[in-house]
Amino acid sequence: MNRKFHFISRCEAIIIGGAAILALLGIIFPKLFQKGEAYAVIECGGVHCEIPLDKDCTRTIEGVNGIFEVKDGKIRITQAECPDKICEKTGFIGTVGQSIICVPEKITVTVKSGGGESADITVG
Amino acid sequence: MGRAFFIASSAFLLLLTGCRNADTSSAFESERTMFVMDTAVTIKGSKNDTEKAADVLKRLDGLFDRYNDTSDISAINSRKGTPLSDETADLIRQSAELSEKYGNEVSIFAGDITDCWNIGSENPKVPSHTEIDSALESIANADFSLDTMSFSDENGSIDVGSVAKGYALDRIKSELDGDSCCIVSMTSSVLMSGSKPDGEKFTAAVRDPENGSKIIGTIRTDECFLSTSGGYERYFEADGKRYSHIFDLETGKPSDTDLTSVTVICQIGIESDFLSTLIYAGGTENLGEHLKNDDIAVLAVTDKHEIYHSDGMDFVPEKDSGYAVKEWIDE
Repeated sequence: MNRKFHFISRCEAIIIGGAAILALLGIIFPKLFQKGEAYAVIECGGVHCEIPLDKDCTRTIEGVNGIFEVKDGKIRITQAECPDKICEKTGFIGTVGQSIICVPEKITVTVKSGGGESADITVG
Repeated sequence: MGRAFFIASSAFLLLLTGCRNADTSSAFESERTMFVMDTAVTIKGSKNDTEKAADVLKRLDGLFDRYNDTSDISAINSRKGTPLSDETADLIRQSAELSEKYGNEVSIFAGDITDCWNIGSENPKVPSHTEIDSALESIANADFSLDTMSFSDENGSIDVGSVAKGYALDRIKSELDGDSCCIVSMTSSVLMSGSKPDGEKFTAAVRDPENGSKIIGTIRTDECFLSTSGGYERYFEADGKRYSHIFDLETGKPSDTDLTSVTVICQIGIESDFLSTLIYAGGTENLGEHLKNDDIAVLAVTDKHEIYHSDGMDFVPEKDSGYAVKEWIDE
């Protein structure tokens, strides 16, 4: 009889239980287990560049005529060489799915995340 | 201990395979951004579908761009008399039918107006009254034959900006593989085709027309064509005033409307494109009949921060957006 109780030792039971709980948490709260937070994808011609939004910075990208600023988890185009500056006036974006477009300079900036939900498209 | 570790990691891995990835974009085989038809276009879908879509867009851009000397539209406007491609003739015919069905507030035969405001160039300008009158007169006297696909004299010119994107999306849709999920976004006109891998509806976040970085709500929809007018579309500024690119064809000036953005969903691309412009230009004065049109679903935003939408539109407002959904009441 005693044998049955020692099929799994207490130590082993804790390890198995712990792993099962972790896995369940991963299903219920996927955000806890996702790699990375929001990031911005900048595309211009053949250039494709990803910038994390968790660190404030100002930067340029080779091959792209624009200056980008990341602040408080959002990004904006601070300076572009287009005539109408609509892209600059769009200001900061930080919600997944949002984007800034500069048609004359052919730049698109889109906010994405490592997982989680976002709208398929943004209009208006 | 080794055995426990083995059991634990197996259990962990097995349970993890049940995790869903809710990020739609990674469910597409191919995702591509291109600049064509004077806008940024994003195509998501199978490799096959995205290639087909890109080909259609490049081909139609070559035909419809009035500022391109080799395009069909440019040939019509410069009275070359050269034969046109079937698609150009089709676009013109369908546009004329739409103007006849819904009204001439939107017309492809108003190229003279976009000309006198220099829209499409790097230097749009505010024209003089004389220039506007002259453009309006040319339009009024224009005589275009749908049989010969030409103008009878020097009056009139064609600008397909208000319908070209919707038409392009119709052509793309007709070439896609059956049920495959494909999204083609041309900024102000979108095709959402097929069904999503997770079985959920497509979602379209609607921007605040007055603040591009904020959202006023999300539309949920099955496959459809969706077009938006007003809002964050193109405009230019002169002397501190903002001039939109949507013109009132009676005055020759930007539409004086109390709507700031209109979104139309329907099953025909060119119609969604045409109607979003027409409904936007028509203001709240003419909104009621469109909200009741069962063939389409409309979302209209006013300059008083109200949102009206058709019963058939599934719209989830964003909290604290500063906009309120109101019920339409006929006066």
